[in-house]
Amino acid sequence: MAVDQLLFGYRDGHELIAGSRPLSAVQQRELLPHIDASFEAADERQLVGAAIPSLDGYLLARIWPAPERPRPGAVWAHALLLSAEQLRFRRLGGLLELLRRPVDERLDGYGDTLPWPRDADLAAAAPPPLAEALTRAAHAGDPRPRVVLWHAASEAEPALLALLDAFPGPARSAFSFRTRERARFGATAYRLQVASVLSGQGAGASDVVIDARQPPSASSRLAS
Amino acid sequence: MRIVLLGEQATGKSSLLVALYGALVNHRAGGLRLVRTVDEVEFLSRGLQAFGRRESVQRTDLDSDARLVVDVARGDEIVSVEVPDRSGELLKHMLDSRVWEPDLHRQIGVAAGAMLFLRADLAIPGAGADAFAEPLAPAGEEPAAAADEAVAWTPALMPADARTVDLLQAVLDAHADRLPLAIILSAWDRVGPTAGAPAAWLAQQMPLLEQFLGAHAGRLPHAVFGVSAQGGDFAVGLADGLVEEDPWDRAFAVRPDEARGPLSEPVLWLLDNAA
Repeated sequence: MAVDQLLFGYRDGHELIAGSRPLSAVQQRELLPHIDASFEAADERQLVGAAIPSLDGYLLARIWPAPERPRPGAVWAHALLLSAEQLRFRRLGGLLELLRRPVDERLDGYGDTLPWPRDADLAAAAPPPLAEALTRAAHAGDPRPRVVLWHAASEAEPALLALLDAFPGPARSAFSFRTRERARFGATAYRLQVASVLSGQGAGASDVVIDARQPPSASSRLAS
Repeated sequence: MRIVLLGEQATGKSSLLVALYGALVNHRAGGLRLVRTVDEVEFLSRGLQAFGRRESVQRTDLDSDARLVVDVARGDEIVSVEVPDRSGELLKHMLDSRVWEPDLHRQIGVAAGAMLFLRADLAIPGAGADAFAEPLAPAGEEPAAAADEAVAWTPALMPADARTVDLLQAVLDAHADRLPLAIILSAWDRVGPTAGAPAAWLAQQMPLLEQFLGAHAGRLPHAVFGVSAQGGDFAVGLADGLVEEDPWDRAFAVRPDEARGPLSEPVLWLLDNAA
């Protein structure tokens, strides 16, 4: 069992640099918003998980700043494309280990499929208040997107994979998430955002925001 | 007034918005005065800080929902101006795939005016479209060997002139009414004072586009502006006398009549010519 991978970076614009499978223009267009980002600090990163209908699959990607590239704001994104069958039936815990940023612009290996990784136990990897908030947000009773606030969004990565893994196979494709420094309020493509700051119109509204940085009693009042 | 920005990546869209915001806040916008900012300006403030450090503005990512929304006063009249700042790669992929990007399509449908961005320093034959483009090949590939092989044609290989006409043909299909078009020749400082009037420069460097605009002047009334949002080239260093200036004092626009003015000139022209 192998998983497809794609590497995006800045060449003539932000585009597909290497990959184990071709993409049509329509597929690229659907992928690109998920594998691009703006960063305020060089040590930030983002993790994205979302179903991609045109590929009949699920995207799991990590994005990093690329200050070594000539264009300010350039990023690297390494994406895994899970087939519908892999998403439904496989254990997903080991996938985070496969995501790697190019070092010294060396791109060898990104054109091949990757062997499916050994499973990893991610359940205990997140701080308890964060894990609890993520679980409540992921299982909220209505379809409105949720935002979980945490000090460092990247700490949520293992717990998000554990959550995705814990959903029954057929329900996994409906769970989408993104970690980022600033959560977008309003229209968003993600069921769950984990961020340390809120931005956008209506950011003051709190009924869909779970502030996991607060003591449990305060967090309960904020959550819907 | 909704203004849509049309330009591929690295053509100066975000730089103009940032510099325009700096001009408005610091009373360097000529006949326009800032009344209030309506939406978040965090990305604009960060851009101004970059200009202050003599660094280029960060590119706009494809997931961005950034926009400039301000109320401005022009004499006794107060006008709300909304300018979404979408990534230039959206337009690039739209032209390459020949499929409308839905959000851009919607923006064009409701816009009262448009700004079309072209890099003045890259519009010469043989130049690429992206000043930041840099080869990046998987290890082991030899670019020199690949140069001898036939390359299948794609829309990505069209010169900027033809791509822009392709875009404007699509715009005419998407926007039923008259759409005033301010053509922004960005990085104007790099073509130098000998370039002459922006419209003459466009006619010489991009004749297909110039003829297309002339043939559709009724639907696409237009004016051509040279714009330097940075005021100079940070990569080679600013000219003497500019280093100590604030970003809003370095930036300038060159009007169709060759007169130098503030960055608000294209916006003022659009306000004058909007239906």
